[in-house]
Parts: sequence; structure tokens; C-alpha cells
Amino acid sequence: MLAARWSRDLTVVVALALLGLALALIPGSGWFEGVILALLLLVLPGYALAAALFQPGSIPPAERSVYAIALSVAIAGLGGVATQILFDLDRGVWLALLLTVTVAASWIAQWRRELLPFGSASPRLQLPSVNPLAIVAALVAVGVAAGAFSIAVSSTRDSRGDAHFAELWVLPQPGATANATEPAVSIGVGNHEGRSVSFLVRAARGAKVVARWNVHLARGEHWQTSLRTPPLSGAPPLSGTPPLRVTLLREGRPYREAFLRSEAEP
Amino acid sequence: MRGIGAGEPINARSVADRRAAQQERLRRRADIPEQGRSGARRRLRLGAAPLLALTAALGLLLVAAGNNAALDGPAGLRALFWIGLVLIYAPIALRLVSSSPGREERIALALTLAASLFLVKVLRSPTGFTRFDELGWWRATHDAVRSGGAFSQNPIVISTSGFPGLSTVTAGLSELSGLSIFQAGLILIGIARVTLTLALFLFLERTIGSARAAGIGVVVYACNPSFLYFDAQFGYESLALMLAIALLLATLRWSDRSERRQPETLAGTVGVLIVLAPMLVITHHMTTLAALAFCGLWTLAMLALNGGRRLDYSGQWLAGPGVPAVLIGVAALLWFALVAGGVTIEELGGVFSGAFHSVADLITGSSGSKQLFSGSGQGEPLVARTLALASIVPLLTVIALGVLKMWQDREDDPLRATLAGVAVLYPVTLGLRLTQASSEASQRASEFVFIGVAFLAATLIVEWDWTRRHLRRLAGSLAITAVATVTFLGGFIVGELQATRQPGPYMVGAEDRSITSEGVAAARFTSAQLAPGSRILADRTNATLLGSYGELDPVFGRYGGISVPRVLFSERFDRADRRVIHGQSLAYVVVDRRLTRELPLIGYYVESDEEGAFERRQPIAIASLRKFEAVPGVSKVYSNGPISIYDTSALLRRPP
Repeated sequence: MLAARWSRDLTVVVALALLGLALALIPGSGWFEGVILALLLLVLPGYALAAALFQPGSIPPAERSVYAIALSVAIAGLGGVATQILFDLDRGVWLALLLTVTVAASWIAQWRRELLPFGSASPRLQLPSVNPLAIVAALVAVGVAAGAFSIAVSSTRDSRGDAHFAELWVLPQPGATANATEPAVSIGVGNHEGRSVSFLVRAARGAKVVARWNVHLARGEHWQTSLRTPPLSGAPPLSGTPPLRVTLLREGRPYREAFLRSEAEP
Repeated sequence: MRGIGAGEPINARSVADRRAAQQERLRRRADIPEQGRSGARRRLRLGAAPLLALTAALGLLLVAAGNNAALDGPAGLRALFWIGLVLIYAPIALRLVSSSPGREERIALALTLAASLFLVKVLRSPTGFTRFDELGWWRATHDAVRSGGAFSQNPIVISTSGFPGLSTVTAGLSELSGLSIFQAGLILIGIARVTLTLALFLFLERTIGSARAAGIGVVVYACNPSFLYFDAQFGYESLALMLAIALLLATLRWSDRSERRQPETLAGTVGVLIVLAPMLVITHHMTTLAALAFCGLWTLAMLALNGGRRLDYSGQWLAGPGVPAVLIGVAALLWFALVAGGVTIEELGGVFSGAFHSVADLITGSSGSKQLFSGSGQGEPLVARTLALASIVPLLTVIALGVLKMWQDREDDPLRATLAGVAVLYPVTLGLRLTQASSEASQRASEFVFIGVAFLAATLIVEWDWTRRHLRRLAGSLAITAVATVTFLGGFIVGELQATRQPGPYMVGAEDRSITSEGVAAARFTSAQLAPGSRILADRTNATLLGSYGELDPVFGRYGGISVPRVLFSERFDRADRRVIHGQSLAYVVVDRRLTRELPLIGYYVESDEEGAFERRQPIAIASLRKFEAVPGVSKVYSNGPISIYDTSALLRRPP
């Protein structure tokens, strides 16, 4: 049987590549899918190509590891740049590219191994044994490093949380044309105060308030609305039309201001 | 059997005999087939590596605590960062310098050092990219994911369109795995860093013939000023360095006479060279040129030193590094001619011509030298200055002694001679630090030059006449480790602005220290609300954020002889400003009022050749930033306090 003669390492490589394909086709596989598909780009094609280029035992394992990673990166880079001439690079194209290279290189590696004298062509997939205490120490080290990362993330987030501000914007809505009688504008507020805050949003032209809104926003929340106003741009020129001025008030006091000027404004 | 390069006395034998014996032992030891000697399960001898991984992890904990204190804590605790660096580096360096560990332990230690120092960079900005280059590459990768192609124009880092290696691979990893671009980039660069270290270890091991020397070489290479942060960032050089060293490793195998006799290995090595050479070329210009120059020099050295004496290359120069040199050269020529010539000249031309002119001006007396340690506008503390200067002394000493020793030994190995030649460039790069414009060239050269320095240092240390007395050997190892640690810390001080070594409160024009929540919020707003690719004028920090996360196109340079940043600096909005906005189709101008607080740390607000760059005595006037409030036709569409965005598109429809 052909399958029985396949080298174990190449069988694992092809199996992982096909597993990646299967997981990509099944939605919702989560982090496991991510790990396998990351391997499909970063390790498997290079390992297979290195196996096709070098017979078992012909180069040291450490050097083979270097080539496996470097060749994987090169296959993704060169393959991606070449493929994009014909196709847009999306997930399906990446899968097809990397799967094809991995399986083809594995097949060539297996074919070359079969040409070797009997008994010399099948490296055993056997992890070296390690002192259990060394494994424990390494695991603790990983845990401590993860703790360091956690401290760094939380202190970065805390420092961001120390910035207390709110954002206000006013924009002509997309599609608002110059000759529309009442083009719409979009008004928005973002709360980065680090707590829930009540705002008053006031839109005015000159002394005339055209709209106002009471807005209560939770931490990190945004609010957006649209408002129809008299023409802001283009003909007919409304000489002297004051800008649409939007003010964000916090605790009754002006906090932020934005405005839209008419193009015709002198 | 003792470990390879275990520090045996050497004075009784000739250098050549010793090296031949070492290399033979190495081959016997290193070329163990994957299945093991007898098929029995092999035991991995990691020695003290797991314990030192633990100390390195504790070092990372201290680094994180020091960074935390720098953000919001007692000033005294900031020093934990430096203690953490020492805790990561020094114990591993001591163990690698000592003669007791075996080869597997040395490899494990070298990889632990590489991974730990990479994590120091991750701890600096653990939630997103913050450096200028990183954000430029984020934009390139984002465009590659969005458009399905990798050649989009990039307004922040122009060369990304000519060198799509990094953005293509990261985009593929992100799309396949579902990771964000930030996560995918970190994983890719982290793996590249570890692989680079392993490749460098193997390269030095085969060159010097000693695993101990290789470990010491890695320890010394980590002292290069770019190692800790610059070459760990999400940038094309970080990936290209790994490819280049892997390529050199394959070149070494190709050039090795004994290896070339094995047809199986020969064909495989050619295959590796054929794949890696073009990948290197499409990834980074400088590393490509450095690899090409190195292989070229190596070939010349081989021809010059051959003479039919000990190294018999039979006059076949193609049997050595000439073939890889030709492969890289042809690939580079084609790529630069067809794709990347313009961006390469635009980017490297500026760096090199600036360096050349500033050095020429310094020599002719047309301009003075840069005041050392003042490039950032911040004075370095005395301790930092001392460390920085002290780090240079051992390196210069090692180079002088190493070259002298090779001269005395009548070194005729072309590769070793080439590596020594590369090391000799280090003093030249130091000279380049004397001017502002050439400092960047010096910084960029360090990661290449240090390969030679690492070789010389490792060779000197392992070939030193080590005494057999334990205490003296320990004292020698401790002394070397102490010097190496000073060199490592000093290199970091030389290579990184004081302000950006650790996080901290906002500073004007201070690269990652200028990235704040307000800037990121403005970028998120523009990404969500404004047309992608709209042309904007902004200071360097906001241009970087809005050009990446904000998906807009910042504009720099000049228009009709007028500097574009002038629009921000002029106190009154005048006809020249209007001409620039019209001519450059600027749809938005971004104003950050914090710019008025202090002078920019890097010496300029928008770009290095703006008017007043490096010479200002006063920060930009508030009137300059307020002037947009009163310009007819200009709307203020966004405000978050310090940052406002003005819509100038109406001016484009009016005559300038």
C-alpha cells in the first residue's frame, strides 16, 4: 500500500495541511484553526521543500530548521507576489497556493526518498527526551513572561484610560449635493472620558439654534445623528450665511466645537 | 568527549591544525542524522538553559514593571527596566562565555536570549504598533489585505511598494489565521528573530569551528545598537536579516569543499539559494546590497588568498560564494530595473547623499559636528553617557586585537578575512555619528557590521590561552560578561532616543512617545468617516497615525518652491498657503495644539528638511494653528480637544 510507505514526517506535514483546508472550510473552528493555518504558512511548505531538497540525515537538524522557516517565508512572499499578478490574494487563493506547494514538495521528497537504498529513507518522528525538571522550569518561565506581558498590557491600557476626552464631529453626509435644497449633515460624539457622561449637543446658525440633543454615553460609546440644513455649498450664493456651528456641552459648559462653512461664504 | 570548543589550551598547536581538528569534530558532532545514531530516543541536554530561561523571564517582569513605573509610578522604579535588561542578558552571556555547556545548551541559550530580547520590544508597545516604520508597514499590509495586491503606493514609507515581501507574508498570515495585522506581524517578526539567531549561531559555528565561539558571537551581535528595538520592529529589515543570514549559511555550505563533494547536498543548497535570493531582493534593498557586497568581497578574498596553497579552489571561482553573489546580483538587477529602482533611489539616495554631504562639510569645515548625546534635544544622564562611550572601547579593542592576530597568523581563509574586513567598518560607522545627516546611515550599517565584530570577538575569546584553573577561568568569564553587558547597554543607549526607550507621558515630536489616545481616536474617526486616500497635511506623528489607521494620504515635500509644512507654520493664512493647498489637493489640514507646548524632540515637526528644522529656539506659535478658524470656506469638522481637523476641500474649487 502506497500510504504505508510514506515517511512519517511527510505524512504529518500533508495531514496538517489538509486539516488546515478542512478547518478553513468549516466556519467557527476558532483558535485551533488559526494555529494550523499559521503553520501552513510559516512552517509546512518550507519543511516540505527542505525535505525535497535535502535527503534525511544529509544536513544537521538545526540547519534544516533554519531552511524550513526561511523557505516557508520565501514561498509565501514569492508565491504571493507572483500569484497576485493573476488573482487577487484572498483567503482561498492563499490556501490553494500553500496547500499546492506543501503537497507537491512532500510528494517530491517522498519520491526522492524512495530512490534511496532500502532502510535509509524514513526518519523516525521521535521527539528527544528532556529532563522533566527542565520542562517545569521552561513552563514556569513562559508563565512569568506571560505575567510580564499582562502587566505591560494593563499599564498601557491604564495610561490610555488616563486620557479623558470627548470627540465631536460634523460632516456633510455622503451624497449631499451642492444644489440640494436641504443637504443633510452628520453630527457625532464619542465618549473617551473613562466613565458615563451626559452631554448636550447644540447646532446653531448664527444666534439661531436649529437643533439640540441630550446625549448620555457610556464609556467608549459613540452617538451619531443627521440634520437637514439650508444649503451649505454651491449656488445660489447665500452671501452672509453664517456657518453651521455645533457645540458639545458638558456640565452645561462648552467643551468642544466644530463648524461647517458655506462655500459661498466670503 | 568534551564539548566542542570547550576552551582547551591552544599554544602547542598551529592555528591551522587546531582549526582543522575543531571543524572535523564539529562535523562529526553536528551532522547527526535526524533519526539519531542508533535509533534510540535521544536525550536533549539543555543544562542550565531552562533555569536561565527562568531568570530571563524574571528580567522581563522587571522590564514590564520599569515601563509601568515610567508611565505612572515612582521615578526610582524606572531603573527596574535596566535591571531587567541586565538580568536577561548577563546570566546567559556568562554561561555562553564559559567553557562547560554543550552544544545543545548553547543553542537553547542563544535562542532564549533572542526570544527574551524580542519580548522586551513587545513589552514596550504590547497593544499595537507605535513606531513610524511599523505604522507605515501596517498601512502597506492593510492595503494588501484590502486590495488583494501588494504594490499599493504608501504615503508614509514609500519603499513598501517596491519591496512587498513583508507586507505580502503578513497579509497572508493575517488572512489565513484570522489574526489582526498587529498579531500576525508580531508572530512573523518574532519567528524571524529566533531563526536569525539560530542561523547566525550555525554560520559562526561553521566558520570558527566552535559552538562556544558561536554562542559568544550571538552575545556580541546582540550588542549592536539596532538589535533591541529597531531590528525587532515590524519592518522589512527585521525579516530580511533572517533571510540574509540563512542565505549566508547556505552559501557557506555551497563554498565548503567537503560539502560540495556530496551531490545530494549540492543540489539542495542550490535550491535554497535559488529560492532565498529573490525573496531577499523583494524584501529589503539595504540587506540585499549588504549580502551582495559580502558575497562579492568573499569571492575577491578567495581569489586573492587562494594562490594554490592550502585552500585549493582550482581556480573555479564559481565553486565559492561567486554563485550566490551572481544569483543575488541578477535578481536585484532585474527587480530594481523593473519594479523598485525608483523607490530605492528615492529612499537610499537621500540617506547616502545626506551622509556624504554632511561628512564632506564636516571635513572641509563648512559645518560643525553634531553634539553627541544631544540629537534628541534631551541631555543624557552622566551614567548613560559613560555607558555609551564605554561600550565603544571594548569593540574597538576587539577589532584591533582581532585584526592583529589574523595578521600574525597569516590568515588565509577567505571567509574569515572577509568577516574581519566587515568588522573594520565599525570605526567608520562611528565617524558617521558625528553629523546629524549621517547618523542614520551609521545606525543602518550596524546590524551588518556587527556580524564581523561578533566573529572577531568570538574568535579572540575562544582562542585565548585559557588557564585550566577553575577560579581564574571563572574570573575571566565574569570579566568578559561584565564588559559584554556594558557594551550591550551602551549599544542600546547609542541606538535609541532616550525618550523612546521606555513609555511615558506625551512629548512633542518624539516618535512613539507622541502616540496618544487622542491621536488614535482621530485616526479611527477618519477611517470611519472620511473618504480613504484623502490628502492631508499634518505633523509627523498625526500624519503617521492618519496615514495608517486613518487610511488617509499625508503630503510632504514642496510645491512650486514652497515647503508644504509652511501651511502649518505661517502665522497668517496667505496666498502661498492657498497655493500649496490647491496645488497639492489637500482636502484636510490636521492641527494638534500640543505642538505649541515644546520643541519637537526629533528636531522637526513635519519633515526633516522643513524650514527651521533642528534650529528652532521656540515652539510653533499658537496663532499659526488657530488661523484656520477664520479662513473663509474652511470648516472645522472634527475636534477632540488637542486635535482638530479642518476641511479645506472647498478651497480646491476656488482659484488659488
